[in-house]
Amino acid sequence: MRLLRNWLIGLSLAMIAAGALSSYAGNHQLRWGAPPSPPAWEARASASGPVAVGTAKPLARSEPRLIWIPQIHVYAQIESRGLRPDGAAGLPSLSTPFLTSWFDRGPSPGQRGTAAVFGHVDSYKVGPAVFYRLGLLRPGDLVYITLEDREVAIFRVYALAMYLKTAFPTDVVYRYTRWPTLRLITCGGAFDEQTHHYLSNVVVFASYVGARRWRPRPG
Amino acid sequence: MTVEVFCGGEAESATLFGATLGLADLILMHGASRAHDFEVTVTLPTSIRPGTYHPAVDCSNGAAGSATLHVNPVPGHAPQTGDGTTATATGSPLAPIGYWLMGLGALTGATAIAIRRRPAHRH
Repeated sequence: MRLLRNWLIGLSLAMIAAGALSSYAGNHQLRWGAPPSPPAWEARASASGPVAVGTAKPLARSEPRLIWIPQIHVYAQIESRGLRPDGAAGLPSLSTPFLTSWFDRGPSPGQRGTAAVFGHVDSYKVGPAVFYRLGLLRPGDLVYITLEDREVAIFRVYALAMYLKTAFPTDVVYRYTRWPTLRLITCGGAFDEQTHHYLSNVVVFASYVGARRWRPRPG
Repeated sequence: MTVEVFCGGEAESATLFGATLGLADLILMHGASRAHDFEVTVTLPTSIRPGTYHPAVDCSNGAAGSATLHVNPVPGHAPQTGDGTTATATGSPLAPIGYWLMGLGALTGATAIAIRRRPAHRH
């Protein structure tokens, strides 16, 4: 009986100690982990360099409705937004973290020029938001954008970059390109808990490779 | 931006009027590959405002016309796309597991103490 009692006391102490350690670690560990950043090897030069020109015919203007990025499991609606009074791009609300927005004062995806699509990286409502994994894209990955006129514009990623917001190069990111290009933009890098903002932006650069007609999924 | 104009017969030069674009008043255009065809490439000032512009072009043979140029605005600031939830929110499944372990440990300890206090059974 004494042996059993001692064994139970030992087990009890061990469980309490393990439980205390586990709850401490659990309460101090990030629930999701910071958003992935583009690797350091991704040279910014490739983002500002010449764009690979394809042979497909650029598309007519049509508002984008859906974005599909199979590599990072993004399938989301796109809403049209213009400029806010302060000159920044209009964005979806943080309460709709799985929506993306297209900057409708610029070209539509597939038109000549640079189309821009924005998405949140995270939100208090859900944790990781629509563009949380944007930094995991790599050159060669494909992005599909379904337009109002039922064309699906297809883009291939050719560069990723992360820029400090205090030195955000609008001339590089939004510069006019004779060939249709696309920018996917979200936040990233370190988070400043005093200003409640990320210090950087992750930007994906993609080039138009062609289009196909949208077909509803069977069934 | 490149402006190209076909002036037609007898034209020897052409001029772009750049004042509305924030450029020099008169910009001489160069001969292009075809005869009577002239072009000039200019860099627009970054201060140009969004809108539609119609800079005039005059040819030396009296022909005149204008180019049409659309200047689209671009966002002026870096976007704020996130509230830091994933970079700051803490609490993993380890925490509730820890609470369960501590509870179970306390229960086991109480059982052990109860065993100790139970009086010995004598015949």
